[in-house]
Amino acid sequence: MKIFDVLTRARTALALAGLMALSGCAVSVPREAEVRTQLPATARWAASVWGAAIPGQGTGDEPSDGSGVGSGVGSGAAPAEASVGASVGTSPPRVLTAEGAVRLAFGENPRARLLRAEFLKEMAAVDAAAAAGGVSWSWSRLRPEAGLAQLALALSVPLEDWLTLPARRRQAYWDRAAAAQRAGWETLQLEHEVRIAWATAVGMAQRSAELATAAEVAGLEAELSSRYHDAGSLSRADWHAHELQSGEALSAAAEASVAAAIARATLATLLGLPSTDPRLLLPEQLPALPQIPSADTERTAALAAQALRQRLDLRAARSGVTARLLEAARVHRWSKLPALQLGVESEREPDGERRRGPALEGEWSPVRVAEAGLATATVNAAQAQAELLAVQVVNEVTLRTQAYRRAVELANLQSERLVPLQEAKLSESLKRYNYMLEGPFAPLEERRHGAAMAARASEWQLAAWVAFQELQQALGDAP
Amino acid sequence: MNFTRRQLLQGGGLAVAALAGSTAPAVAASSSLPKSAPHPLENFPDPLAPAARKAGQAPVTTLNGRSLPARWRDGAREFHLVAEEIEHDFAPGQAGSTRIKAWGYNGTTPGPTLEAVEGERVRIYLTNRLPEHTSIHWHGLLLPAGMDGVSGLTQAPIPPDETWVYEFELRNHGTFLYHPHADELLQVATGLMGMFIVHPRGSEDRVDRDFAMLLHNWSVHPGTYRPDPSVMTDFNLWTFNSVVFPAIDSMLVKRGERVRIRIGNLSMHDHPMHLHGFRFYVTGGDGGRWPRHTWHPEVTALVAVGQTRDLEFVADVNGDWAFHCHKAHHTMNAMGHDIPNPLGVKQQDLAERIREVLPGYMAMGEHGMAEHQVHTDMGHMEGPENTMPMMMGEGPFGKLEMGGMFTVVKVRDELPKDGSDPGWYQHPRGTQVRRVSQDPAFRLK
Ligand SMILES: [Cu+2]
Repeated sequence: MKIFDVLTRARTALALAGLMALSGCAVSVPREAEVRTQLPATARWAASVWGAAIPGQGTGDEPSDGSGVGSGVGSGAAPAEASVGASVGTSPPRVLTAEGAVRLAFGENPRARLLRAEFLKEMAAVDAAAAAGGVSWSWSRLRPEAGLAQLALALSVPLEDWLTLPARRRQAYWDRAAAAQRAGWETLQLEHEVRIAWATAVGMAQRSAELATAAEVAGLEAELSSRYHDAGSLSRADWHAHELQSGEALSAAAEASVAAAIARATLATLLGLPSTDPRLLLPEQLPALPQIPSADTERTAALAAQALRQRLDLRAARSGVTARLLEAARVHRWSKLPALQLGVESEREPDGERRRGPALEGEWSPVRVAEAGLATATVNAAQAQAELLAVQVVNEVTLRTQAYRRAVELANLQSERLVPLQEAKLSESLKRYNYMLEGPFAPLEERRHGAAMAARASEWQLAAWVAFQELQQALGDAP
Repeated sequence: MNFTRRQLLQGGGLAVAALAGSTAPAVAASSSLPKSAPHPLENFPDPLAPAARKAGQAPVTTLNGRSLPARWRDGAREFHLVAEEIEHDFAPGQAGSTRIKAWGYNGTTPGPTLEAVEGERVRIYLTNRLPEHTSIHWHGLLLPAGMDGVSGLTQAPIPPDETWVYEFELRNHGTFLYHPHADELLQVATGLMGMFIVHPRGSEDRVDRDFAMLLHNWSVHPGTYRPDPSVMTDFNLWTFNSVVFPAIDSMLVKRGERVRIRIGNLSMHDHPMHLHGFRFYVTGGDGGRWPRHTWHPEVTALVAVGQTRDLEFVADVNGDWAFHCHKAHHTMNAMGHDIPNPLGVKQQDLAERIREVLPGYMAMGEHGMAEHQVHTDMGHMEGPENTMPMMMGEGPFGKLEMGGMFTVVKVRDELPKDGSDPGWYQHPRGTQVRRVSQDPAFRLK
């Protein structure tokens, strides 16, 4: 399992760090440039959209280890990246694609700003924890009842702060990685959410249009029946039956129209736009479905392995485990030693005599031992959480793969088989009407059924689109 | 045999087969339908219906059909019938005709007409090439019970692939029928039937033209290729000898000739058969010839289910005279039921709006149904697969708006010697209806 691999590597890093800390030799501190290369394209892109440079831009030394954790980003360039820079606010109104919706969401949605703020906050906290060791000083002037004052000056450095600096910076490297990976994951979630909302808005509008056609046909049917009634060829009861049908079709169309409006409003909200915004010009139908995933278990296993490699939430969890391991090692080491301050003190006695010399101060508390226990427990919890997440990822991929397959099969059944069959039925009905084998209402009824079937087909098309997004989400792919 | 030559010239595939002595069925255009095997056994030495000649009678003209050649062997007139699945065309030569897989005798439905003479002994071999057993009942003939052909009652059923022989003396003359009496509903509905004409000894009742037709009804649902035997009353094809107008042969007669039309009815409906232009006498039925004192002039004769009727008249006036069933829907092809009547329905404007959501929709019937044939003839309105429009036929003065049980008796001073159709009647000046006004407010002064 990958995770054991990571932990083994992390332990090696820990051992190295500890060794270096004790030997006092210079530690090469990993820089965030590494972290940046480990982020998927979407996260990098999101960060650039936010205008937030991921901290640590300078090229630093290579990390001594841990490069394996971040490798294997499988998603490639985010498709949004291409369309983003090119067309924000510059092109005339045109049909809003899923990519365009994602771009708008990252530009306008307050949630994107919240993601950014939280990411920066997390980074700041990491930076604070990895700050260089401090210096403390004291100055006192004691005036006795008579005579000259006594002056004392002391300058000292907390030894632990300085000695643990390389270890803390190493730990910060992993905390930053975790924060960036988490931010990338959240960004992807937002993107998926936008894509699903976009597909839902398009699909529901498509469905609504089909049911509006059905209602229109039913209306024509009712009007035709009134003409037959006027001519004396259709009873009032039969005419009213057609009117009733028309009313039912109208109410179905109205319901669909409300559902479409809700879907549109949901998308608009997610994009941070009013739903009347001209940029919300949606395509008339969903594009063709992506390739249906293979049903064989080997392929599913390969997809699960891919997800284990590239899911940013999982990688964040693993980076967190490494950071906590480093932290625990440091806390353990220092918990057994008193906190030492090394410095120089200078005193001038009232009699004018000056004395100066080095000073060592020590402090030890049982709290430090307790802190070490807490650090160990935190490591264990982080490890268990990462392992649990890995299991969830595998199961999620299996489930989502099956769900997508089923949804595509149903969508294809509807659009490739049932809709054409219904069209053939309509054509036959029209031919029968032509030869006076059926009345004029029969082809209209078939047309109405055809529209209702097309509405169902768009429902299934939408379901397949949502299932596809959920599979992408489970895989951790940038769409 | 002028009738066969006439059929040949009209392009009837059946006539070609009959003339060539081969009995391959008319080949349907749809090659997916099975082809029937030829019948070499039918090639008997004398193909010219000798029974009629022997009896001093005119040979029988089976419209769109033929008489079965026979041979004389061991003191009996021998026939050989083969029951089998065939292809059948309800309107040979007509575009868009309906074709089916039918069951027939010797390649056709109805099977060939059997002709013999009263007093003769007949020996009729029946080969069963059907997938199920069968039998033949000789409807109206007086014969020994064991020859009556009722499967299970007077004989065991004849299994597939077997040949059985019926043999009996012809004790009565007249117009008779033959049909299976085994799984009768299906086998007759699918086309197994034929006429058996026994000429009288002596010739006191001689006619110049002797036509024979078997009335039948079929249910061929739109888009299907087999008749539906489960239909009891709502048939959609009404046929003379399994053919619909305008593919039914005309009856060609020289002025002054005595004409007999023999009609058998194996359909599930009674048919009031109506002749224009002449009074006829019903001279007989499947019980034989009726005594003269019972004859009375008629222009319509009801031929009930399971009956035969002989109509006789002297064709003393030239013209093209309609002969048809008087049930109007029997002179139509497939029509729907429970269709709201479009007469008087104003919908031209609405039709345009309907076409926006339903391209191809046409408003029709506001002024009557006649426009239907105009549309279907011009191909404006496509119909379902393997379905003929309800009205067909083009005459010298326009569309006939007919189908089903309709044909024409053509009486002329002279007929083409080759037996071909003389064309439409040329009305002498002053003998035809004429227009006097185009003003709807026209009043006689
Ligand atoms: Cu009739």
